[in-house]
Amino acid sequence: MFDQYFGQYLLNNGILTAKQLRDALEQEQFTKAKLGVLAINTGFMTAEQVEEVHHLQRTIDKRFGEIAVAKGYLAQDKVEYLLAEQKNNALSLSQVIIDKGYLNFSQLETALSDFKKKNQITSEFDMSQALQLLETGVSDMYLDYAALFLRSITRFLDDIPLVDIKLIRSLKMHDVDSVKGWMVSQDITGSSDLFTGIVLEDAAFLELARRFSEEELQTIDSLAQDSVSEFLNVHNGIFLLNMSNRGINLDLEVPKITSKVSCKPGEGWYIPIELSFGTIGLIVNKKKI
Amino acid sequence: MAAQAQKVLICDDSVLVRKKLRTLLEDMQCKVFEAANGLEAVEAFKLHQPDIVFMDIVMPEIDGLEALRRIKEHDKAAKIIMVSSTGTSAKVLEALKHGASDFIQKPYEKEQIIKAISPSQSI
Repeated sequence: MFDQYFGQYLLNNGILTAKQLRDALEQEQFTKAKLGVLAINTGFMTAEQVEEVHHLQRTIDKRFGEIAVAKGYLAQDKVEYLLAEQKNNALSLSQVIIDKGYLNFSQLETALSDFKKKNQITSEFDMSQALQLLETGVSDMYLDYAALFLRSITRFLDDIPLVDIKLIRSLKMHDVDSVKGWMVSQDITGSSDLFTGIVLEDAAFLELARRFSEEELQTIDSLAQDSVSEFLNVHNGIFLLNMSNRGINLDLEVPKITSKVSCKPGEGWYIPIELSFGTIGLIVNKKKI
Repeated sequence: MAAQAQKVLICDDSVLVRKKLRTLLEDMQCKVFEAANGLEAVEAFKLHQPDIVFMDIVMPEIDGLEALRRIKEHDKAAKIIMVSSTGTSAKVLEALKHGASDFIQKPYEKEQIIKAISPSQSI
């Protein structure tokens, strides 16, 4: 669940005003989601049940979870799950919105449900792909980045990415220079600098550009180049949101494009990804190259 | 019908984004102007006095947040909607503090743009 996305959704759809969202965002960092909000988000309880338990808490000196279990609304293992979720600082924006009275539980339930249906957003990655990558010893941030990239391929290019873990190479081997083709790259800066890049030959470049732009592109002209850059930019934007959700604030630089792959040795990975229209290489490097 | 003869300025270094937005807005009878970086955006705003501005953040020369600040200095009533891939809380908050009317995360949906230029939209 991405609080930032949800906040923008509420603003864009007139559910919150700009002032309300600004106030809520300012309070977000000081707030932890309570079990009621988390229970609505997971679908474990309805807004009506949460309202009832909240009401009972005013007269019974028991915790939310205890009352919900006693009423038969939550099983104990689900309470444990929600308590664990609470430590992830997820949904703090939703809690502020409730606390400030901008929405009631029922309105929040509807907004969360509509938002998820519309955006199909989930914080879970494609686990089978992620686990494959994990076996190579790629660090968490690279793993998150690469797994999200695979999902972006499915989401924006309507293709099924395949990664052969045997072909993942460390950039310490500095053999990326031998890859022929275009390189579209973007630096991510902040507490953790990352160099991100896509390497691809002409045919794959053009098809990726066509799919992302939905334009009838015939040659690798400025529009085609821009389409591949924008794909990387949009994907990186989503990665930034994920990192921001964990308290890591990062920024994006302007994407760059070159017709010759040039990549110095670094502390990162080159990940070849097989698509239906060819192979593209994903470069994730710890520092600017 | 929404947005008849509205003047709209699109500020984005992406040729693709400008092309897509222009097509959508011209279909809605808007008069469209373009800027490819933050500096061009400020100049284009002063020249054309658009009713609404769609502003990217990550751009060459000066970024969209600085362009927003400069335009707001020039015209406090300017209606500027950020359309950016960098929709983190910090960026949204910064944009709203500088007077942005709205923030649309890329990839945007057509409906978000249509709604943003609707005359009834007031934030």
